[in-house]
Amino acid sequence: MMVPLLRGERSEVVRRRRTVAVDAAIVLSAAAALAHLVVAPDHFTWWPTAGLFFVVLGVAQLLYSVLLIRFAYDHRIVLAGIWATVGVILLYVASRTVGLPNTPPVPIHGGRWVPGRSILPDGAKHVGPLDVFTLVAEVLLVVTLLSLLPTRSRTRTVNRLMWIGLALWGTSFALL
Amino acid sequence: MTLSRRDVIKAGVFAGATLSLPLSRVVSGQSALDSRMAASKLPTPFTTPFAYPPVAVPVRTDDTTDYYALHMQPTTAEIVPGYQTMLFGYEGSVPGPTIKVNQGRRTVVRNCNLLPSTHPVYGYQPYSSVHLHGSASLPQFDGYASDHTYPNQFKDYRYPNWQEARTLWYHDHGSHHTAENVYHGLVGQYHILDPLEQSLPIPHGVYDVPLIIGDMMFKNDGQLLFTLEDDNGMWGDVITVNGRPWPVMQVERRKYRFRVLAATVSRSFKLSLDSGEPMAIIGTDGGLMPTPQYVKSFRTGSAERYEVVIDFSKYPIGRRVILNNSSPKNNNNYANTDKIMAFDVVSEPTDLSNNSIPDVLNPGEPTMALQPSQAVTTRQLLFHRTNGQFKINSKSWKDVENSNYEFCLAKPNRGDVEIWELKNSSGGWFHPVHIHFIDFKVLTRNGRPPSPHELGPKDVVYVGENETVRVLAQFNGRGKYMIHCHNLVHEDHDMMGQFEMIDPEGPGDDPRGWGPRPMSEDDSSPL
Repeated sequence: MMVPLLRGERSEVVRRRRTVAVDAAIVLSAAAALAHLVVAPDHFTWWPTAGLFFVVLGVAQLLYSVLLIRFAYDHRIVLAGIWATVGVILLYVASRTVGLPNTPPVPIHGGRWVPGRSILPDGAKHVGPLDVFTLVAEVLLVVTLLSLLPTRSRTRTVNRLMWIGLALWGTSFALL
Repeated sequence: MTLSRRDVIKAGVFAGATLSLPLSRVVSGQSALDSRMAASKLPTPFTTPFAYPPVAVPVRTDDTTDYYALHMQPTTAEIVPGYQTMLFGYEGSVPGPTIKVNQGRRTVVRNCNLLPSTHPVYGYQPYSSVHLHGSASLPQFDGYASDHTYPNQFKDYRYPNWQEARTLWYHDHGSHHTAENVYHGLVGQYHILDPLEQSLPIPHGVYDVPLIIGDMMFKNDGQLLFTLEDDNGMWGDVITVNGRPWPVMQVERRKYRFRVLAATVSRSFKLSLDSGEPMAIIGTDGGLMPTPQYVKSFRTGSAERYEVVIDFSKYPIGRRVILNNSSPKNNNNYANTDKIMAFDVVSEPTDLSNNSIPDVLNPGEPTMALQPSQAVTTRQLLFHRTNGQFKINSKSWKDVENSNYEFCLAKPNRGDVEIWELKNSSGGWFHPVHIHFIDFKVLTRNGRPPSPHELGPKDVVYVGENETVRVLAQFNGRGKYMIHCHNLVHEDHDMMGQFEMIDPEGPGDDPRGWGPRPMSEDDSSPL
């Protein structure tokens, strides 16, 4: 594989074999893409904008899988994949916890009347098996992509992710 | 390049938060169950005396019509010893009073919503829409799900009662909150009597007994616990009959006729006697069967009605007979949900009239006389779950609302006979499917003949796991009516649609066209 140069590397063509981590990232991104494409028609019936978003997201994740085949060691491509995936994950978490503003009412109301320690307010949507599958795939994709980064970039990125995670935990405990 | 242990821990903080927070819904459901009252505090089966529901008394009558007023309001009952549980009742009773009317006399029922503006525990607004289940009512009096009567409003419902003798029941049907409202007690029976049924020597009077079976679950403070089980359903750990937990009824050594109604949110039953003796099924949802059917057990889902005769003359005085429940699959069961109630045989009969079961009951029953060859079309209705929503043919009540109540799953012509194929493609849950307005005849279940207890006119049919049930019906009406799963959690989430009977002589009435009025007009507008 032809690999673009990284900062500090010598000016010569580097050839690397694709690692298991790269293969895993390709598969995980494709899996998430397919899941989003599968549920797109149902989201169209709820809200066409949501359906369109799922189609665009699915296609983008598929393209990213293809991109990884050739550019898995370009840390800009890897970083872009990490933060785009983190954005999708955070959007999902918001939709299942605090709800998304300016969206039509969700046609199911499950969860709103469950007493107990729920932090789910009105508007939070259903968490189904496909949701969990996709979320796990995307979280694993982020972790796998982290392993492809050079040390300095990886440390900086993983620290930022940790702070995001702490903020999420803190917010949820504050709402309990 | 690999991740260090420190990297893994830091990434784990992020991964843990993003995975855990959405799944907290599951955790919250579990924590709701954690607040469930301990089994040791629950009532002991067969220690509570049986009670008949009260019989409704009309506020006035005239030559053609009986007028009733039913007030939906909070009430309390001691179901668990030592605890007062808040319920919703009609006229302060759970279940509500039984309305009895002779065929041909009309009724007007003023349903007054005196419920709180917000449920004190579950936080929703308890609007109502009262459905008289089994009645061929006009669309505006059928309890259309989106025809809401809000707290401090009332609505007058007009019922024709031209149908043959049958066991009907009234219950709340307000969109998205039917499960909660029914669970809190907004149910009652309604009997149409006719000359044929009255002339038969089957048990009547005190030997004709409503059995409204429900299930409840309680929190530690004695209040009702309502959980959605990820929208699959609501299954209580206490079985009630006419609002009492596992009651015991004293019976004479003779035949009794029980009008069995499963008024549950989700639970289905397979009922049998511990003696192993058969029971005689003489009636189904739409009234008397052509001939009685003798069964040792029968399955019933939510909203089905069966008129069952049990002959206690077979037992000596002192014998206790238990009505058991060998639960159909995909119900959540608890320690004592395998039993319903007990009958203590205490005396010789004081009245031996109307103490038999004729070999022929209602041979001319019009729905059972229908033949598949009369059908002009066959329609398929698939009951399925997609992306968390329960749907019919990929449509839900939301689609009906979004179409300004125009969208229909089917539009049969008035008078047409049709076959409807009701298909449940899942092995994970069952669907008691209810078609409003009409009675139907069950033709086949997965290609095989229906069970003996289903050989009568029906308006709810149990569509079990991976089952396809074919039913035959004549659509002799006009206007829009609902079809839905009677697992009320499924119905609320949103497995409900509508069909419209097309009459060339004109459209049907608007199901939302006879709105409620404020309670302030109750006095100035007497029934």
